[in-house]
Amino acid sequence: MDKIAYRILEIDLSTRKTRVVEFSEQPLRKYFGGSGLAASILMDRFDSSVDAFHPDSPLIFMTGLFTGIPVPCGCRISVCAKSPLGHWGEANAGGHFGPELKFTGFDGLIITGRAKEPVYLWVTSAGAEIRTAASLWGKGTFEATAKLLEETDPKARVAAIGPAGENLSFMAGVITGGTEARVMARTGPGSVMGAKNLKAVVVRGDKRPEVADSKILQEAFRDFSPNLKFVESLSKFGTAALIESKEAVGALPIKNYLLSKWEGAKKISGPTMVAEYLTNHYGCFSCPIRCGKDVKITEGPYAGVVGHGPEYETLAGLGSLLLNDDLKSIITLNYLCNDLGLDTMSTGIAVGFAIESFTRSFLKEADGLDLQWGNAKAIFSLIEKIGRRQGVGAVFADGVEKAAKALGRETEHFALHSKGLEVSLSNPTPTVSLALSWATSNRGACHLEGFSHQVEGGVPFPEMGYLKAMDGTSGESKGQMTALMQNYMAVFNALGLCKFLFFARVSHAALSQWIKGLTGWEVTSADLMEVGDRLYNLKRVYNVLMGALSEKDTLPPRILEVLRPGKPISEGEKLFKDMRREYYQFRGWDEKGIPKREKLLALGLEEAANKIEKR
Amino acid sequence: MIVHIKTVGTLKSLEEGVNPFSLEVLEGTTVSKIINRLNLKDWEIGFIQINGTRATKESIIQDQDELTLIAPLVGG
Repeated sequence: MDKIAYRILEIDLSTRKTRVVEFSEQPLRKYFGGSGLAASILMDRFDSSVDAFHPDSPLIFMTGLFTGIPVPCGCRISVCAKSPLGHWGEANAGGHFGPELKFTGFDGLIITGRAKEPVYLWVTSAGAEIRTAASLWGKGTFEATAKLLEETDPKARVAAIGPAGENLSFMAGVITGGTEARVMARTGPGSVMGAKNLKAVVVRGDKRPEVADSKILQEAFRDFSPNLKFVESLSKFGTAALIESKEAVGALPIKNYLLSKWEGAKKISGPTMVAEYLTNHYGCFSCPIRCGKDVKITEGPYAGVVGHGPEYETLAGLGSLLLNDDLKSIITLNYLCNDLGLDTMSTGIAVGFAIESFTRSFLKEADGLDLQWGNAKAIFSLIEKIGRRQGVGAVFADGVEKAAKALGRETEHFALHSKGLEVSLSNPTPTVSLALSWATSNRGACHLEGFSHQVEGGVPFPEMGYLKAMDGTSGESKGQMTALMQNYMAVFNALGLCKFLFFARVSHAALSQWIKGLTGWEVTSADLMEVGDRLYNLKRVYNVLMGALSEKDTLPPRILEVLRPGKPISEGEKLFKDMRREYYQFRGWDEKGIPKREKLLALGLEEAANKIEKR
Repeated sequence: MIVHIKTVGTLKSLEEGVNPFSLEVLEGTTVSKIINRLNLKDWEIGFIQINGTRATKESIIQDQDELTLIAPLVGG
């Protein structure tokens, strides 16, 4: 008998039929769960002629192996689908939605079709019920979540879209937890839900997953606790702790990456937010780190709301990037994005692009908004318009790649994206591998797929021989390090574990022990890295089949400039291309960035290799 | 020999709000020795700068240097 198996509930919103699909131990050993298993399913069903918003395009919510299991940080869930950006789409969140889904007895949901009218799914151990959401369509996620809890069970967990998802914004995420928002933000999964007329998924379960050896898992928590010292700053201040440190080393993005120093950093920092607005420290399911910082605002449209305070990326994206040093306004803008169902990172970059376009006269008129740097009131209005795809907001609702097409070729210089996904909020000047990570990430300019800049900065990765900080301005050997980190981070998504465990220096030996406790498997460090390599390549093949080759593994000129500040752009370009060349070679990809057949066969991906040959 | 020390980010509380502060050190002192003297652990330090330029724990302090100790950039 299998030591572990997955039961996935498949729901066709067109026919309103459901069925259970089971996955045995064999595919789980090969792909783990989460976005790993989801990638194998989406590859099996791959059809290049079906676009992201077509009813036949599947949307998958998938728990990781450890989601809902009481090991440290066993909380995360992935949502995967073809992205409206035209390639692999994947987003991930902590909180409590993923564990609650697991407690229903279903490890994931595959959603196809399109409902005739707005609906939500009510998922319990009995299956999925498709219910009308007509009265919720158009509502923000805060109100919709509260009403759904009234309609179902106050202890249920909700993943909902806001007006941004309904209006098919490519920047629309899926918001779990209402005001206590944990967001599956990137690559536009909210718009894929919107295209299916699916307002929300509500889950409630009472089945605790079985484990192979509960004693091993109990020891996992005890053995991990000394590691908490490595992430003490996250416990105290959340990722907001980073703001001043990043500014000090030139890594904070300021004025659309035009500046490297800013006096406003202290005003929007973690210690300031904690001192002035903190109401509570928040932890996701089974998390001893508790990096969430709940805050309360006393004025404006969200007066009285206690909810998730802005984390680092949001503080930078809606703060330093826009020269906005008014922390109160950033907290409000964060609430606004969560309520509208927008990715705060992409939204920040889109607003920065809008302001630069306006102040440099590429955008002549903005519905009367005075889009100046630091004008929080105008920023609020623009974001509302983006989320509702109204007026000038429609220009930016699908991100900066499309906006630059509308505003003219010159604006492509500062349209900060790769593969259509807006860059994360760090300046790569002091850690250049971040630029390579962005350009080669399967979902676009994402820092989380690789986290390579953390290793450059000194977070050790001893199993691969990285013990101390690297020269962050040199491109030497960064291709190899970046690829290894991307492989390793893919494992975290598939396991349903938070990547902050890496900062807490969790070892491969510890993870292997946890896996043994859950599944009974004996897994080595090499096995972990091989699974990661397999998953990264599988998603890469998906992108190759979508036509995303080396010419898409690129960066906008502004980013190439900041790689070598004050020098001709050709120097930044050379640095980037040298890193990319080494990266392709290390990965076993050809010069077009296509995985070679022998590489895929070595990873057990024969069908993927065949699909590349037939494309 | 005097070194002027500035701490950034979550290291700020180090000198009870006095930031920057100065220390008297012997000639040939490394950054590592100063970190030990301040009772800081290795993992509590991310980036190190001397007079605004990136340095390492092995770097040797000169008189009147401005040493900046920056908390690790973990989390984003």
